[in-house]
Amino acid sequence: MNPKKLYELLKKRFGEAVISVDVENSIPPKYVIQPDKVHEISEFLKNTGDLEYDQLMCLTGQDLGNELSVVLNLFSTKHYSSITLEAKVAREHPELDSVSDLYATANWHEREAYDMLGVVFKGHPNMKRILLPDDWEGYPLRKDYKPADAWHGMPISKELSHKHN
Amino acid sequence: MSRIRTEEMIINMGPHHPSTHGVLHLVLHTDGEVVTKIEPKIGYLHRTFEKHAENLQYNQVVPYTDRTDYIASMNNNWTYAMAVEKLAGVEVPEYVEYLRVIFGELNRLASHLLFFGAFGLDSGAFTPMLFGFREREKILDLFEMTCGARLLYNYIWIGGLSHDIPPGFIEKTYDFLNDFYLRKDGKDALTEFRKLLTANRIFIERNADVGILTKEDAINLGVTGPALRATGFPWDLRKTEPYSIYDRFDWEVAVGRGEYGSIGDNMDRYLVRMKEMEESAKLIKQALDQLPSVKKLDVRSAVPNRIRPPKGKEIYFRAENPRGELGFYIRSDGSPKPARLKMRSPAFCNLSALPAMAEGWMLADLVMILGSLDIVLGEIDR
Amino acid sequence: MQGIISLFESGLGLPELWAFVIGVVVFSLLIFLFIALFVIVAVWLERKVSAVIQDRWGPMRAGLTIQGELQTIADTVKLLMKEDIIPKPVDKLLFILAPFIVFTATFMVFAGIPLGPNAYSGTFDLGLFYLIAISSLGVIGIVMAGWASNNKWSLYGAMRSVAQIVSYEIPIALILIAVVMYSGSFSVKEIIATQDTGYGIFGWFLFRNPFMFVAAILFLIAGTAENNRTPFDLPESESELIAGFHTEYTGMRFAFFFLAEYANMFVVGVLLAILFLGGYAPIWHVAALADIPVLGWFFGSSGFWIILKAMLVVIIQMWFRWTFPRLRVDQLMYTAWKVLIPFTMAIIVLNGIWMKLFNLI
Repeated sequence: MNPKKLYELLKKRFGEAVISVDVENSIPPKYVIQPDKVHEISEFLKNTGDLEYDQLMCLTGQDLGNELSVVLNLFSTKHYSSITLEAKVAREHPELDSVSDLYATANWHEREAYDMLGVVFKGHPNMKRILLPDDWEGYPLRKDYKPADAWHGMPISKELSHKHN
Repeated sequence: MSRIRTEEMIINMGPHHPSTHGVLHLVLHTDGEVVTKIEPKIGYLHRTFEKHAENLQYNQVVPYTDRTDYIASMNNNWTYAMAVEKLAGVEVPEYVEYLRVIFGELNRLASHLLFFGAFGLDSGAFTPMLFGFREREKILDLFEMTCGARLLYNYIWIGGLSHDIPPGFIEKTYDFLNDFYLRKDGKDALTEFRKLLTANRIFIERNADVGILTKEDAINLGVTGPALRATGFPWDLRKTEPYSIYDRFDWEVAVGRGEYGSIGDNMDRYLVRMKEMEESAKLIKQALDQLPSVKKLDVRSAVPNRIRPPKGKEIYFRAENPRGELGFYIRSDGSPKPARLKMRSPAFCNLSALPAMAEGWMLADLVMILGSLDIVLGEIDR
Repeated sequence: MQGIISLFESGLGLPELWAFVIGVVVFSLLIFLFIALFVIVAVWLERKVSAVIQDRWGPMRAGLTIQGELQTIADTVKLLMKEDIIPKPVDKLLFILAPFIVFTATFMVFAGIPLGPNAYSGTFDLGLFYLIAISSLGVIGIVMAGWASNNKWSLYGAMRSVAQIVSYEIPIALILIAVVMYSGSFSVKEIIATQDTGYGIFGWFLFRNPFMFVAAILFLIAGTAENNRTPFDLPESESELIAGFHTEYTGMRFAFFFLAEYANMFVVGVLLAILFLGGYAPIWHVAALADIPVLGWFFGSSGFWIILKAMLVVIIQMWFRWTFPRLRVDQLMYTAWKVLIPFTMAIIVLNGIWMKLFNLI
């Protein structure tokens, strides 16, 4: 299904929750959606007859500066088509619905997004840090992240090892 | 007589355990020999790859990709390079594409050879390890004579390669392929592997019908690569979403057929990789055969001096790595550094499927199932 | 052994008790020396066999020639010099005792093994029973090691080991019955004498009837399982249990386990040689040789033949180790109870029918 048509379909179904579509600047085409509708829209995309986006290729959290966003890259193994969903969440209370009940693979990806950016996924079965220690402070991939001086007495180097720019 | 009290035993497998293939920590709940619950704990090898990448220029990230999946560094370089090329609109010469296919497939072979060895080791047979390493060594020699490195190559650059192939490379590669699968006297490496491990009754008994993964579960769990193909789903990005010049070659996608047990069991994952080795060798041979007809040029000629993708442009690009789909999500903010670079590593997703696959099996099976996923912890923790 | 005791008694004029004590000690030391020497050779051999199988050289540096034959001695010295670590949470007494029990069990087996017609420590009328009974005592040490280590992996190894050794005792004992049906005696000497018919290898029980041949193969399988070697190395399976029951052992204590394992390989080899390959009987009697002083002794009554045959079996076990993957626990039990035991029982019955048919009873 071509991006424009899918956009209209989603717009008709979810109205205000679907904000925009971006075809030029994003490969694959990106649909910006409201964070509180991520689960519903994903469910629709997964279970609707001629869409069937059954594979979550990737789930990324990122820091856009004034807000955080979560990017889902979906793929349909039946129709060979891929799309990107982006949901922007506020920096202060970054919360959105977990899609881990739809895509089992989201489980770890969401934990990683939480670990790195502090995005909380509601309804996630095990919302804990995954790569960093459980008692780590701060979310390293946020642009304003400042590491603590030490972790359990071990000093943390604040210098980035590379200075060539 | 009071009744004997029994309870589940919680046991830590790893982070230093011979068959966790690195620093993986599995918390196992066991009932006798049966594993009832598995909690993987990862992060012991976390080296903040993504944070590093945000502070580096696009071309400086290449060496870092080497260090994620250090068993298949070429493929990592390549996938990253392709993602950035697509993002920034860099054209790659045909000659470079051919060399990339050759090196990518050689590295895939090396990775699968290591899998063959490690899987044999997991099953308790030591000799496959040495046999696999013997062949892998020849591939590493080829890499060494080309780019000087044996493990972390930094060879495939954005838009080109670091070095052209040296004189004698083509002959040596043909020699290797001849020993590997071409010679028809039954002394080629693939036949040896088959005789040593594939045909072994104990090995078949250990693997057939163990750790069965269905196609639907595999897709839902994000399992990709040989483990997905073993479920009978002919999904190989080189075929289904042909990138580079893979559409010019004649080869097959290996799929699991359930020859010894059910489709999607350990044995299928093993056999798919064995078949893939042969297909990779075929691909290398075809690429080598076609190479003389391609116009030779400086492999660094198309390497851009400065990479500045347009502001706000983003891409999710994925390619078939030996372990599965390696994906890069890159967002540009117009500066020479990526604003966000996320690496979707295949082993990360494959490992997250381990509890679903191995719970309810025995401890010995868990080791084999983990082995059949062929994880690399460097890539999981990044 | 009687010979040594009487040597001390009459030769040196010592009182009977002292002669006995010194004789036993000397004899034990001889056996220990033999085991140590055998293990040194066997470890080197194992590395060379594995090297041949794996297309590589194996140890090449240490030694007088270029085959690294002193490598094991160097390794032994290293083991001896290593720090003896006893982890804090272990059950100290059991932890220290375990390797010695394992080794002692193996060591005692050697008392029942004759190396030649006149080279044995004592004759037992129930020699075979003694060998089988003593050799399975080692499992007590293994359980102790696994339990005392206070390590869950060790415990797994110990548990597997018990299940395995108890299970595989049964087929071994049943095969013994098949052999005893022919020899009519449990005495090791008698069994060898029955096979030493003067027809060389054709007198061996191995070739007496087709079932005995199968029995020999089954014995080899069960024997390999008894001493925990691949494909039955579950108690110490490296890829699953790290090192099983001896995970926590270092240095000399580990060396004792190691010694016992290799000595056990020899025991299986010797048992197979005694039961099926004619023991110390030569492959063919050459009458002319018997009169030549040294050669006659060497090929007649030294341990040459039995050691040769045992080594052959040892090499076969090494070959197993470097080619086979490992069984799973349930498959291991399946092999013992549903394959080996029915087969051995069938062999006993068929043996009886065969003997009746050919009037051997």
